[in-house]
Amino acid sequence: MNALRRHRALTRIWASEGGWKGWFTTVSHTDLGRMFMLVSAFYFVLGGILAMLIRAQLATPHSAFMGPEVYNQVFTMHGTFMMFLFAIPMFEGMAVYLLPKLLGTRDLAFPRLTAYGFWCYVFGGAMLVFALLAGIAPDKGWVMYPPLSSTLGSPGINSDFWLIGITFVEISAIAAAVEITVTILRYRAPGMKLTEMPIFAWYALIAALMILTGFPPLILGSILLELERAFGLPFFQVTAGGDALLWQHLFWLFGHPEVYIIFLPAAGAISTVLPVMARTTLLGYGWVVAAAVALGVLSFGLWVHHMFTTGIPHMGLAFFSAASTLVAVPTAVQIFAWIGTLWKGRPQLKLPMLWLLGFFATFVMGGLTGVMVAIVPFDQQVHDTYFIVAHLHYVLIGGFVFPILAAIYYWVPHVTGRRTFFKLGQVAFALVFVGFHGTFLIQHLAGLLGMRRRIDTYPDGAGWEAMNLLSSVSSFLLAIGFALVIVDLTINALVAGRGRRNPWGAGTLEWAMPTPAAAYNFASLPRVGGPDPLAADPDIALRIARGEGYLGDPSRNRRETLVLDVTTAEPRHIVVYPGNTALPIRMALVTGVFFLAMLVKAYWIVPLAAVGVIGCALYWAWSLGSKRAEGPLPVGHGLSLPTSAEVVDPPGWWGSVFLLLADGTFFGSLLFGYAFLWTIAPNWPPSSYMTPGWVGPALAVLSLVLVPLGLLLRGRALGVGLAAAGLLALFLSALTLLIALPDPSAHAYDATLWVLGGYVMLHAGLALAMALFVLCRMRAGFVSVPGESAVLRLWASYAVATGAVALTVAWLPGWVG
Amino acid sequence: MKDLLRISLPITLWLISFSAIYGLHGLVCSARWAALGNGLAPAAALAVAALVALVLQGIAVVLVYLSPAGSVRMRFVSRALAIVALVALVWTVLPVAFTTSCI
Repeated sequence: MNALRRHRALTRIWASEGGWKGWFTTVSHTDLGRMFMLVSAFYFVLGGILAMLIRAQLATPHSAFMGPEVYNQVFTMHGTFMMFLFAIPMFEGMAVYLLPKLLGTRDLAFPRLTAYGFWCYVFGGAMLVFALLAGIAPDKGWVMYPPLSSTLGSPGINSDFWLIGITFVEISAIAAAVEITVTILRYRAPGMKLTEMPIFAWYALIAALMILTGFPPLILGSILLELERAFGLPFFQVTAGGDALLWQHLFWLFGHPEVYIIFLPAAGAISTVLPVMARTTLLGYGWVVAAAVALGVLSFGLWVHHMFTTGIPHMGLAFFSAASTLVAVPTAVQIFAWIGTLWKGRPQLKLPMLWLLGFFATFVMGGLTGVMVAIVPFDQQVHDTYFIVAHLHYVLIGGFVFPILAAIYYWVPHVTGRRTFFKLGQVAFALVFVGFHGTFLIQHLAGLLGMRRRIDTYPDGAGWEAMNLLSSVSSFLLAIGFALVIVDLTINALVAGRGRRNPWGAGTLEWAMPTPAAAYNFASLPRVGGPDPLAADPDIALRIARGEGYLGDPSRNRRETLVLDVTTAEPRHIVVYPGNTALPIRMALVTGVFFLAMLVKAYWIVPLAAVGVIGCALYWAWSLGSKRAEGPLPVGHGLSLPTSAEVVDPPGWWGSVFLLLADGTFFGSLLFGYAFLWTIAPNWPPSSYMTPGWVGPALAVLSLVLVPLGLLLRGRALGVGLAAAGLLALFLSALTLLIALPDPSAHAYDATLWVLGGYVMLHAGLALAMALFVLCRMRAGFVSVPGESAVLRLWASYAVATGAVALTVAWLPGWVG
Repeated sequence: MKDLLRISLPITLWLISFSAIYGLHGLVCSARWAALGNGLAPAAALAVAALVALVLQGIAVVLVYLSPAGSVRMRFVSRALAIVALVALVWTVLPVAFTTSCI
């Protein structure tokens, strides 16, 4: 079979449906990556327009442009759009588009999950856009501090849009994070060991793991605040045993890692693009990996630096001041690695390089002000002033937007297949650079002179008038610059001539394919031996096209790729992907109904929608696997491998591991919240602790016996049945908690136990549903049962372990007291 | 996976120790500490916790150095991160020695 016939056969197998239907049924990472990036660019424009409204309002004192009610919505939605609907999804889009190509595989680990995440993002974002257009947008700042954001301070529906809409969008982030992690660990070109994979993959892996551990505290906080708003559960109300500071801890436990989740992928882009621009390789690959890991983990120890003015003791302040200054070190290691790369290379001042130089100047300045605000006495002067606004824009625009624009200009020839044609781009860069510094540099001074954040106007004679006018005029330059970037890219995509493959002379695998990319990425999967396969073997693209790699024979007529061993990078099994389907968008719509029902307080719809989501999930899972054992199949180079339906660690097992990492972080945050309230909140203890009785503990002990026993009997229906019985006992045990505390709105203690009980019931119920699913699969004769049983073992063990901990901490005060 | 655990465990241990010491700080400075019938002074409790954390972190460094080889690059990354974690712990728990406990 020659290259052209192979291309046509693979295109028939992998292509998305034609016409408008294709948008809704595609599961291709290439399509979905582009869609993610386009929608996130839309939100960048929307957030930018809101920024222009802010600057128009603040250009002069006592401006009548916007009243305070509208202004509060505008600045809240500016922050919300930029942080949740632009920055993270742009990273997701880039990772979804690039990773399979960089790693030398055909798609991400779970294509339908990519599509589901995308549509959850679109529908969740649409809720927030609707709120903005209807004038009922969230208006308490993107940080949503109670009591201002709770029932007393925010009685309307505005804050509910934030809490529910953002939680909906976060499904997309968690889904993408699970995918990215599993794909990087197991879906690479044979021979591509972890220490030899493209540096962007390391950054994406670290950012994905950070999403899995950083987002759950915010999801918990959002659920608790919504429960308080909707049902009066007083987590944040001091009079009933709550504490508003609990929200701040939960929010910033997410919020600080969030900004590093935003920075790290941009740093990954810099580490990829800069060496190519300098016509050399990255200096200090090992140092950069170590610095990125250090940055990722250290960033979880900084969160209280957002709370330096909340009255915590000196030692606590000092802990976080020390950690916050420390984080500059791994950041600096990366900066020096990049400078060293430029030093040893021969840099060319092409357009991506201009944006990288802009990054260096801007981000380093932002980092320096970051070290300043890490010093407590200084921060206590500038907290909630425009100094902080200036700092955050320097690090976010300098540290994310500039590198991402460099990355977009670098990879746009890959996306469009067109020649680089960036004349307007240079003008745009100049306008953005000058406009940015004109807007934000002066705001440092305004903050030091006392201008506070989030004010809709300021008085005459405050001394801030000229600074604000300069800032506002410059912001229009900045906006024109960004608009020119969009015009430039659009013109390029529409009219530039066909380009040659690999116009930058890069060494990574994404350039070893025709551009725009074919639906299947690689006609065959190459064996590689280093991070720059194209540099090591310039003919690799031809060999791939000729089918000389693995899986070069499309005669099985289905979508296949290889899964590798994590460490040795040797092929282990074949994954057979599902084809185009509307199931993801349907499931996202049903999920949307679930969230919308809560928003409009039509609570009777909520359980129906939940059943709908579960039904979709069961259908989703049922469509995988097969009743016929195929045995080992040839993949090329004399190797035969089983399909993932016939192994005990299928990709779904790995996906579950990382989803449980996120779930475990959520549970840990819940325990932290309980401990925090018990220790710190005024008005504790409650009037009485619940006495556990004997029914609940007896059921819990029964579950602790039955579930492990059942799981030990691997592969047998009796074992699954015993585990199911144990999970039912666990569910009922947790139910006794709720029955014993009939009024969760009485005190934060009661409310917390309700949430703990609800958590155990949810997980026991989920694992029980999985057990019943496995029993049905056994009856139907699916060969994938061993792998599915492995997934069940994970979830059942997790349910029992967290159930035991949750029930113990719930009952302990009653036993002891 | 062992390589990934080797590189990430020492710095994760730092995060756990740091968070535990901060949590302990919250506990020893609350009314709960005396109510738990604990006569140990807050500063002493924090000092003990910091010392335990330092010992554990030191053990982690030794274990990483002694553990069997991955690739040369993985060995470098895991050792570098183990040292970083130890330095991070020393730096971030210094306040135990130099600041007032509960004011």
